[in-house]
Amino acid sequence: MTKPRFLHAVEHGLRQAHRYPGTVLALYLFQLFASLISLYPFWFLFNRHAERSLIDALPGGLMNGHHLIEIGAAEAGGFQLAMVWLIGCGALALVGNLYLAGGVAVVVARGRGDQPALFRRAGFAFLPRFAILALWMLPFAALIPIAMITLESILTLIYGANPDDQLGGLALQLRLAVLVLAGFALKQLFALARLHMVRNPHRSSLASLAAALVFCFAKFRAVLGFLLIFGTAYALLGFSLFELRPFLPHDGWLLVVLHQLWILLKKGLDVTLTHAEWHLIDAYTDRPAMVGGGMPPVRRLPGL
Amino acid sequence: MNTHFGPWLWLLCLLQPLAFSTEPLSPRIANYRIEARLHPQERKVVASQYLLWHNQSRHPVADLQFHLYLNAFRHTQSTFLRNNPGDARPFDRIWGALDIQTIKLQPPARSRIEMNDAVSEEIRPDANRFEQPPDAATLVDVTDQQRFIWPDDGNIHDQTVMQLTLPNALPAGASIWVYFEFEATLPDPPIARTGAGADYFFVAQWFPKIGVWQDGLWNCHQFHPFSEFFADFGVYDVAMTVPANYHLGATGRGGPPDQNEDGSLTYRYRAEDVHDFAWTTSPDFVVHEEQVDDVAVRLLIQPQHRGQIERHMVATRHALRAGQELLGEYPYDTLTVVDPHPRARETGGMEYPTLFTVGTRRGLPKAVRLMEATLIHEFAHQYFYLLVATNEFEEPWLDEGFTSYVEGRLSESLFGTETGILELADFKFSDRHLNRANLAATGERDAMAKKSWEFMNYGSYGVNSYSKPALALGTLERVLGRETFDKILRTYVKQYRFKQPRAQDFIVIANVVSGRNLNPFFEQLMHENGTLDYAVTGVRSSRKTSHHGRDVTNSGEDSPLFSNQVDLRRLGTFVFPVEIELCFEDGGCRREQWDGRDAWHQLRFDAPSRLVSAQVDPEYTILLDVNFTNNSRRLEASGAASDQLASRWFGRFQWLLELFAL
Ligand SMILES: [Zn+2]
Repeated sequence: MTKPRFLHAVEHGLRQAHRYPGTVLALYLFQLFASLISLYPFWFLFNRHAERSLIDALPGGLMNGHHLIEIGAAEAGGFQLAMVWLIGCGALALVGNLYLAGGVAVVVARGRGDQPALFRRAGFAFLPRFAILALWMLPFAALIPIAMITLESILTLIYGANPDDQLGGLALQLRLAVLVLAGFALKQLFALARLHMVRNPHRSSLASLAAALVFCFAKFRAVLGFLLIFGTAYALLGFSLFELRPFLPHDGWLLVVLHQLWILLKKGLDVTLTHAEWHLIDAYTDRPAMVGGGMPPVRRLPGL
Repeated sequence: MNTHFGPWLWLLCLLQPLAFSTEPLSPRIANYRIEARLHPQERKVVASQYLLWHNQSRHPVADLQFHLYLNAFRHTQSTFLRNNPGDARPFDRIWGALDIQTIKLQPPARSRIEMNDAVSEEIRPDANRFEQPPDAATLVDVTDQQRFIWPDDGNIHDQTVMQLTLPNALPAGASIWVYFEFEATLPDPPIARTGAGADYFFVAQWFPKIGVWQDGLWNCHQFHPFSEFFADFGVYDVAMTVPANYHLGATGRGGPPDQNEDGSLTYRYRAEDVHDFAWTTSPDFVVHEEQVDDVAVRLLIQPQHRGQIERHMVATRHALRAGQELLGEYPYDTLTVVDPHPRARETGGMEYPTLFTVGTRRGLPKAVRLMEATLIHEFAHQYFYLLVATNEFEEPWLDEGFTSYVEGRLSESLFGTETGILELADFKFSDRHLNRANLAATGERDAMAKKSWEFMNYGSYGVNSYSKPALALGTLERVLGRETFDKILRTYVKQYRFKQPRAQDFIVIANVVSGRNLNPFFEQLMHENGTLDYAVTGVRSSRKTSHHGRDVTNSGEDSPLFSNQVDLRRLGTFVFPVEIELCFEDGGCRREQWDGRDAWHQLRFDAPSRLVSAQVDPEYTILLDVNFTNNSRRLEASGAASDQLASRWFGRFQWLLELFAL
């Protein structure tokens, strides 16, 4: 009896992941850096008022409504700038992540562990093509409202006009879950399209996307499996943080450490699952990859 | 009264205590009997109305004045819509109207009384007469004696106040029957508070309502955008005919409906000692009935909000119980809570005697307590509007301000002092927070004591009628102590229930009960627009140096003392005495007083320990202080607070950015 392909692929990913500590660390450090940079202006604005004031005299400290509102009013312009800064950081993080995705895909495809030089070159090489692919993804964003509408109609079908009355808080949680899963599905499709593009660099972005879609339908259960793994990772984090929070030290340092641990694990999971996806795509397609067999001829990569 | 019935009269007098086991709670000046029929298709209520009005003043009355509120929604040139044009949209709507077809009068009934040889004529209202209105056919038609007047702004297009000239002046003490036939058209979609949406009807301010005859003048204002309530107490006996299968809720108490031959239902409601009557009807309502102590509560809720019945009831029970504990007995035996149709949200959050509207949304998270806050607010109006019947046109803060204060008190006792309105992770807000945010943002645009239409705009009306007075009462509560303040509040309600007090009446009670002269506080609060903001702007401490220089003999020894200095500033113009807490390196703290009059104040003193922080108003008693963050200052900067906040938010930002990670 042969193993199911999906589990096989995940197992393959797990066996490979330990060879990529540098890649995981790069992903993590970028995320850390981006978070700190985007947080800084907010910290600055609050600290300006808090450092000389007896903020803790009111319950909740700086998060007490009085302080929040007063500092918010005093720094209205500052907070607007900080929001612009945050959005800017988000946009930059998106570009940075496209770059990182190229690097990860290529080093994983080659299958020889960390290769910093290849990572960098591949990252730059695939950045513009991934950007175009990302634009092609936009129409698929309609998936999210479609999923929501589908859920509503199913709920209505089962529970009548007012599912909230029957389900109470569960209805809201269901909606949230579907929203998150639809978001994950989009990200999954994008990841598969990227891998297809890396596998066959001469293909257009639209063709790669189409190939990814076909793959999704062909290996539906596997794709669903990936989604569930991501969903479980997030749910575990949310649940454990929510449950742990009352027991954590008041000043929050342990929370920060736990967050870092989780982000690090999540990045490791990303690399592992990229391996698994690559493995599945490889097994699914008979034609050898142009970057194939884990040995991409470097000159075949666009721009290299 | 006909003396032939002498013996029977005696018997009646003996039975009187049985029929009216209690004295009327209020001076029953304006008493209405209305027969109304709803025509749902036309959004119309067709009605006939008997008003028995009693001139309890010492002045004869030559004319009567009536509010025709629904005419505010006739067209965009009414005073209401001129000042709030947005409310009229969309223009292809059904406009509101109150059209009077007939007005008839019955001349006053007189009786002669002999007193000490002198014959005096007295005209007395007879409680029994209200039950037996005259036959309309026998009354004198005075329909052509009506004309519109515009006492507030001279806007000749406004038709919300009608003057009816009497053929003969009504003497002091006399009462008169006025008969109306009228058609009330409800705006659809509703405009601010009243109207129809889908098959939901909220019928408020719908009948010709007499103004208040006060000191020989009519107090009968036009309908302005932000205020509408001032009326005399009385008895309302109202029959409302609605289509079959329509549920109905109304002011007062009603029995099960009578079924008419055409299938329609007639509900009859009676309310005593109230000053208005509103009703609502819709086939959609889910009716939840529950007895809360002595009060029969009816909740009329939209079917899609059925899941929130218990949420409504939790707030209602708490409001009734905690409200009565704080403010004294709720003297009525019914309370109707109405959840408006989603297509008539405008009618939400409004108070009427023994009935009010709230408003919620599907899936409103429990942590967002806007519905509960509104419900508690509208309940509090049963005291500050219904019982203590202040003039909302002229002193809106006596009505909304006291209500907002009580809303804060009751929702905090239900949900916690920091979380009366919102409790989502770190975000916790109560009425106090929001009121202070409003005050800081727009508090200084106007003085508080203004007529409702004299404020700069809606925001300024809101902050000065709701937030600022609520915070002022909260400040008094904290400065005088809760026990004293509650006594003031209870005394005020007790003394002025079923009366129409003015601000000065409350101030007198506050002064007497607290034993303090609060006039300077109320003077600034009501008649000035200054902000109240005290700040510590500097804290200094250094080891005391010995004296040096010419003519000084220096012992050469360093002093063991520290020279400490605190700079305080009054940043607003509102003067309020403050307490300052000084804390030292050795852990000790002590307090100083400052009358707060000067623009700044400096404390300089030597102490054996280094001063590490200073704080004005350390107990946060002065809720009117628009900035608490500047109330304290420490000698050494510390990043602890912002670091802690940052550590919380750092994780959240990582999550946020993880959304962009591919
Ligand atoms: Zn109110």
